[in-house]
Amino acid sequence: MRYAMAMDTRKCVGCSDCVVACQTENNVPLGYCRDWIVEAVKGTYPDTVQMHFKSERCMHCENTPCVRTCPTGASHVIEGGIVKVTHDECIGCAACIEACPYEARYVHPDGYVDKCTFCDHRLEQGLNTACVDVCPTSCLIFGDLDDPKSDVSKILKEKDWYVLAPEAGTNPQLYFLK
Amino acid sequence: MFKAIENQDLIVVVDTMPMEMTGYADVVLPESTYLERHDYSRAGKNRVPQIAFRMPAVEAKYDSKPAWWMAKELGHRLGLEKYYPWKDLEEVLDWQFKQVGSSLEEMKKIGVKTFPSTEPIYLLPGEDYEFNTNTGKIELYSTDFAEKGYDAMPKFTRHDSPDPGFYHLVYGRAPMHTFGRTQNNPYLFDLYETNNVWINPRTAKLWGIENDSDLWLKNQDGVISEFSAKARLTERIRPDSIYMVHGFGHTNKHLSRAKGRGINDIPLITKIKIDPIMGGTGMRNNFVTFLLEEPSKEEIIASANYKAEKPKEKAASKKKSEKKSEATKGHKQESHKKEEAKS
Amino acid sequence: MEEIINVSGRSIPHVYPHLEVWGGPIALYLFFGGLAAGLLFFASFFYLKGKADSMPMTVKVAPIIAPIIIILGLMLLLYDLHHVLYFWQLFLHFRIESPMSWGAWTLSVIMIPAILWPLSYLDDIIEYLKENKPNCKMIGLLNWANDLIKKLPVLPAIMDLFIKNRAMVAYVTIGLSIVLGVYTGILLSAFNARPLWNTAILGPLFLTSGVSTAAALLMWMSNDHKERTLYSKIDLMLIAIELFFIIHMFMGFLSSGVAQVEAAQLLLGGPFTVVFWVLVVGMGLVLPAILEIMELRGFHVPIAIPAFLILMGGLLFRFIMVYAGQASGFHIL
Repeated sequence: MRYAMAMDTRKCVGCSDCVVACQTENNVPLGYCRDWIVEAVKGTYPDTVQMHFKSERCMHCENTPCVRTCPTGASHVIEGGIVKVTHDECIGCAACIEACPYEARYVHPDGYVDKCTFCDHRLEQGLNTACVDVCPTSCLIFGDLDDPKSDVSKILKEKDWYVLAPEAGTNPQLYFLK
Repeated sequence: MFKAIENQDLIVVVDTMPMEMTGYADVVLPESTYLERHDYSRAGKNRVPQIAFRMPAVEAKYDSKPAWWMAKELGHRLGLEKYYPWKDLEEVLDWQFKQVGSSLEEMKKIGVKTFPSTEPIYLLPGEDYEFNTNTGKIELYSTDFAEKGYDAMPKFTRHDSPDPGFYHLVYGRAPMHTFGRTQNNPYLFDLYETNNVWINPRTAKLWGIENDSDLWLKNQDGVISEFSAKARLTERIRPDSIYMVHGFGHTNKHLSRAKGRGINDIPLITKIKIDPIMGGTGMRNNFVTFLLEEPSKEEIIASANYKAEKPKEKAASKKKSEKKSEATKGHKQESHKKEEAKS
Repeated sequence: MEEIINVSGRSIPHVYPHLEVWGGPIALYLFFGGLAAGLLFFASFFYLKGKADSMPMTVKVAPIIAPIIIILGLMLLLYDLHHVLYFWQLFLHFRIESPMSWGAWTLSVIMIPAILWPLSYLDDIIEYLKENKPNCKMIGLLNWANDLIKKLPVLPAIMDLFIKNRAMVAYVTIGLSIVLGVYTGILLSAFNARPLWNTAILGPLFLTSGVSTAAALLMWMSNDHKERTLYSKIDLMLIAIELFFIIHMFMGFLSSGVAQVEAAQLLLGGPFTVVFWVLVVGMGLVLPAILEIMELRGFHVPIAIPAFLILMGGLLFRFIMVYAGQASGFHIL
């Protein structure tokens, strides 16, 4: 099993529903977030001005610098390639935050390091992640890459995609559709 | 508008949030938000006809009530009980749902019910159809307009152009907020806490404005914005225009987060064009210029009368002060009720 | 124009939009670690060279600073932990790939010789102080500690064992002090995500810098002319090596990928340029080197000046590397 997410940059309108859905689903304290929206604009008026939105979160990389640098093993990988943090083992040294090229982790006000979990508590119940479920334009597609019939496998076969900072060598599992 | 307010004998405001208008009210009836109340069902004859049930997701907070409750209670107090022969909206909805072969019980489970279309939704090939026009056809040349002395074919009229140093004020919406009423919601405030002024980088260069510079706006009639907003330099706006999101610049201090954030576009819209035929209003024909230094309070007040006549100051007239005492009585009663509810 | 903005109001303390989750405490911790490593290195090295009596400051007296600053450093590290009540988790795990884990264990292990070494010389330290600084208030305290140790049950036996095997301990301490010195650099260089840190040369560079600060401190504290001249020469050599490493580091960055080139630009024309070249390289390396050359050529220069400059340079270098490193990253488009 290899969970992955595809994000259609052409469908996203930047409404940030995914951000609030995550905050409420996972009790993320106000002022913090596990996912966020980036807007990129290119070009000069009146020539072609292009823009797109990206919904970003932990990339649940296959090669995990955050897990490697953790001194206690609090950061670990579970079934499906999901990167998680065990709160009671985390000492809050923030080495994993320094190690993440995507700045996807933060220090929770309670002291431990926190991040996106791909809503593994929902996956266990056979549900989708909260962000995927609320997206009004269906621009987030989640599933198992090892299953060739899953939506995410199919769409990655059909469409052109890219990942962020591939030169970091982390092999991220959040794919952006062009 | 302030004159209009002054001339009212009684102003009752029903709102879900402490808005600017509630400050002028003699009586405020706090309404519960759409997630805290039953509403009449949504029915639409779309491609697939459907009815949708609207029920509370959470209990109403504070002493807020749904509008149907206010109407019914007012009715009772006016001796109009016979027009409200039902206990609550659920009873009304149940009756309505039963008329279309459903019930409240069923709708609570399914939420949305669809129905088969009883008539074709598209014109059939070769079908004889008459449109609601003089000729029965689609009219590019409107005979109706011609009869009434208007241009039967639309003629191009050039829009007004701004004076040098002024820019078209274009306003719009952000997807995170709903008009001006969600700015104080903690989660949505966290997402988008203030609007900013979009300026084309070429325009900004002329003014020496950089990203995140604080600026105030002044319109063609000299009205100055009450608060400032930060500049956003972007190619998404033309050099002759600026853009900002509507719904910010709240002044009511009860909006603990949203108060004083961003620029309110409404006071800057002093010129409203009215379509001579159908009466539609055009408000995107105002022009603004930038103030890079903070204007003094007096300047802002002098620039428009909207600030000068706050409810506190208008209490000068005797009639108003009488009303005020009534209003405070009302408030007291309300707070008393709240205490009762608590105990 | 290219514009990349966050539209969901993301503003997370110490992480976004500016990564600054590590700050002053970590820089100070690295400085103290390097300084302690240098002090222990010199003490062990010159002991093995048979200089215990001719260089009493180096071998006997100065090592008492090492355990104090190691404990200070550890306290700074603990202070910087956000979940500090769980710090013991560090010592329930050893993770070979995590430099943070390496550091916690190295510091704990090196604490043993760092404490025992000065304790075994307490008599000599007291004598040295009486001779050179008879008014020092520390003497009373040290005397009291000395008497207390002798009354304790097991400790005197351990001390005897320690003193008998001092040569072996010295070899181990040299090894551990090099690990500690290199570790202060590796802690930063292990992060692929921070291009400015992610260079193998940072370990040797921080080791050299740490040893050089220790040499400066010893030069300052010693009142023996020969000892001072020796450290002056050692410092000159270490400064030359440091400059060589720094130049190498930039050559490596500038011939690498865009992220590394941009990271180097932070120090070559970016926000950290002036502090780095004027305060660290100029005031912290080149100026003290010139002063020391003048001193060796016979001009009189108060020894405290170059020593202080080197120590400040070393401290600032760590501050700049900690902050500039966090400002470097991959372009995420």
